[in-house]
Amino acid sequence: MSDVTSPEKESPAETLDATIVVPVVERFDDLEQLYLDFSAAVARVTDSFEFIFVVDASQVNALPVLKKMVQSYSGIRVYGFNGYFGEATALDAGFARARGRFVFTLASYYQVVPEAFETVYRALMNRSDLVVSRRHPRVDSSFNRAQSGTFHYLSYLLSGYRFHDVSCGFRGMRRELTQEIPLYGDLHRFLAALAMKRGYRVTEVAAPQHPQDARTRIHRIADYAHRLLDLMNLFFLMKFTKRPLRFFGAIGSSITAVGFALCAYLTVLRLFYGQALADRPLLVLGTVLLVAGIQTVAIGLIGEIIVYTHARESRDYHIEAVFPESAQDKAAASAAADKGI
Amino acid sequence: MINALTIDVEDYYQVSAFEGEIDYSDWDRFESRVSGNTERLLGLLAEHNMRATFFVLGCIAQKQPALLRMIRKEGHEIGCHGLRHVRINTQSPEEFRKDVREAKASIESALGEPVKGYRAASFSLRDDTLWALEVLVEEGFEFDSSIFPVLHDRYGIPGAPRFPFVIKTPSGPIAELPLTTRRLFGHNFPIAGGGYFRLLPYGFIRNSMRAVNDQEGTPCIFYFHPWEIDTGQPRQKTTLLSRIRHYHNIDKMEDRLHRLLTDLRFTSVSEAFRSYRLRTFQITRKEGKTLFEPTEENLRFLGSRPQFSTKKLSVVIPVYNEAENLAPLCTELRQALAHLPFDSEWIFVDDGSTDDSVERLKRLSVEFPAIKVVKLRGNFGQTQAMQAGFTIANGDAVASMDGDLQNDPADIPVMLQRLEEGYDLVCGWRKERKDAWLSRRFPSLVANRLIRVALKSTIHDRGCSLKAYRSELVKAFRLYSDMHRFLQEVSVISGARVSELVVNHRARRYGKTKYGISRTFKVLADLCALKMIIRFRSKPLLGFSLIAFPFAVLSTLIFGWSAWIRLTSDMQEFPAVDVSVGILFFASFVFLMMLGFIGELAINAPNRTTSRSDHLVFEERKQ
Repeated sequence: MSDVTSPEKESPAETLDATIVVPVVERFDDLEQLYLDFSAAVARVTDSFEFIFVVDASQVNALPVLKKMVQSYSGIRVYGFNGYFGEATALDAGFARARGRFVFTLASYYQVVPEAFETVYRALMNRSDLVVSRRHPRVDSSFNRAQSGTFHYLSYLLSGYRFHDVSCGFRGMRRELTQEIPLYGDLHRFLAALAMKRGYRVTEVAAPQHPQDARTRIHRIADYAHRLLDLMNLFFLMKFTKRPLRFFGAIGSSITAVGFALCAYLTVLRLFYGQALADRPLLVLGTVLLVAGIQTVAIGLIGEIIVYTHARESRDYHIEAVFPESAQDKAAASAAADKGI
Repeated sequence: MINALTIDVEDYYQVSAFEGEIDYSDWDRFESRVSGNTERLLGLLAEHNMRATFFVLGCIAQKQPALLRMIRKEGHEIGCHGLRHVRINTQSPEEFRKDVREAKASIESALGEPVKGYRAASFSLRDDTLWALEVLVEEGFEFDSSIFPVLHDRYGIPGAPRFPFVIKTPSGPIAELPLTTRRLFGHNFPIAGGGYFRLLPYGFIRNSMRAVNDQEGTPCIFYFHPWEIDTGQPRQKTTLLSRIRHYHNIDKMEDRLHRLLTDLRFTSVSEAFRSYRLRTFQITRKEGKTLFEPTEENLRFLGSRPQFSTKKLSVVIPVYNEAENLAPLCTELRQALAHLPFDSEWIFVDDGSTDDSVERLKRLSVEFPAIKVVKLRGNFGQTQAMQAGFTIANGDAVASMDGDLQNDPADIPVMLQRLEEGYDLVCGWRKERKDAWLSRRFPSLVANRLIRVALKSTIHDRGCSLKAYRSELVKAFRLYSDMHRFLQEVSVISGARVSELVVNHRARRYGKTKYGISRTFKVLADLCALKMIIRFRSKPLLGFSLIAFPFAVLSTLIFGWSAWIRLTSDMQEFPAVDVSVGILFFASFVFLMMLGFIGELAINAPNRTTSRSDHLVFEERKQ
């Protein structure tokens, strides 16, 4: 009944129009009803589609119903993790097995109304590589809107890209995009920003919020801390992945400068005013800052060496087309693409 | 940089300074010393393993053909110095033609090969004798080295270009190689040899020549005579001025030559300028003044047509909203590359243009089949666009240039020629930049100077996109971020030989400043990173232990000091603050050493392969 497949295996060929990947990670509603509602919406646009459910070990309760669904409907595949890997990895596992020309992601609970599928699909047809949706109009509590508004404004400040609802799990994209952008940790929230940085055309469309999604969400403290870390990660990924020393150097050199100034001040006091330093904690502070600053710069240097070492495998540009096309160029371009992470 | 050494082979009694005292009919009365002096010079040159161009008088070729053959056998180039050292301005065009023709024939019959270069007696190619160039072309000369662009009582055209150029005459073009001058106080000052070399301090001449090499990017053309090292020559009674010019410091000349040949490198004229692009000038007369006017043509090689081992050239051109420039660029490229004996492909990399650049390129590719277009998905910057082009390029030589017509495609063949000399990378140097001074040139000048000092680099111009590479080099490095600014150093990491070449630079039609104060910190950070990468990329532990070492020393000193205080005074405790500072330093030492190990791990860790992540998946299947 269950069998372990390796993630390294070749991506399957494109044989369908659409693959809908549903990561079952945080919570789930009635999955069968969800499947019926959304497959009806998809069927209005295309007949050739499949659903892939990826179940994290934290949601094993979803497995019985999914097993039943595999037996009763065709065009459903269900994969599961034996460990806790989170949403980004679940999406990644789904992407690796998708057979559709377009890949959609869908939350395992009602976030948006099923009719939104058509909006996203049309936007995707209209020269977009990635379509993200925002729950709009919202039927939510104002508390939810305030906390999500703050988060998005901060991520706009840090990344320079303006999106309104990164937590909305309903997105559509071309398959090549899923193969090019690595998803890990909590990066799925920033898929749109990562795609834009790589030159993909990203559009955001409004999808009416599902009434069932309208609950006041007060998260655990740890979740807020995670979101804060996500923001910092986004900032770093957008600006400094290629030049870590610019980041660490700016921080480190300013800390060192303060430490140096303190030490210099104390030295002047000692030499010209004869003040004893033995009982001044300021000396310890100055030294700590000096040392911490130098260590920060040193970490930046390590970063530079890592980037240089791996520069051959990564690349910052993305080729869309070569003209006139020759087999050789295609091979070179795809070889270059394979080397990219 | 290799300079050109020229030697005017004439005897002590044949010089213009004595022409008032010694008539040609009397020449036979004098003892000929030219042969011995020239042989000494040949020895001197052989000792320094250098070549030179010898401009020989026709009458010497007639009387001592063996001397010419000896010079040639040593590998030197031979040119013509006229028949009997008669200045052009004392001859009519017909007399001059007769003189030159006989001289050329005598030298060619002595050597058995054609002579291509000419130098007028006493640099007598002046304002009033420029007609002589036409005669030289008609008599089959390819280059002339007779113009001295200085003010002088006997010779000189102060307004002539200071560096080699091509003159268009009605009979055809001829390359002119003016004697080297240095620009001082708004005047051209002669530094190129002969009497100036004997009379002026040696250090001044050497430093001036170096300045011309380094600051103006051109080889010098230096001259002297065999009689100048001959202390034993019979002295003539003549005017004081001529005596000073001819005899002063003649005893120190050989020593000075030794020093010069040690301090600078020399070769023959044709060799030194083989891969230089010469501007073409037209001579016009206006209100009694001679004007040298540059024309648009600017490519000519000296001597023989270069031989290329290249089989295919790839030109990589990043394009960002350059629609109007594309058609003229293609036309220029075709003109520039037409006479090269190999195929080329022009890879235009569209860096997310928002205008119709791509469509225009596709249309142009009907007329220009060499065009290839790589369309990038967005705007990734020039370096990345170039890198994208490099991955597609399949020529064995690669050139890169801007798409905005600021670079001149005519420079590409010259750069390829330089590659053939055994270089892996040839960088363009926009010596005469056509950009705004304060907003562009000044900041880039400061940045360049900073980088040059920090990296002990020799490249003057880091912003010039016009470069030529051997394809192996292009495949060896991968540019990321702003690495293009340090392309030379990155190439040197791969063991590349790098050369620099002065290129043409034309005014920009539009564009915006890249440098600015905000960039300074970034450049500084990148500079530190690059220094670290160059020295310690394969041994990070060593690099970090060098950073950590001072902390180890400091903490040891502080611990020693505290212990000494504790032992020598009556205190019952170690001094708390001192010891804690020492502990901090020691902890920092440990931390930095650990970072070094992480570095070793980072460079040795296996690369991520095709596996996307490390999770195992099971599948629920239909039964």
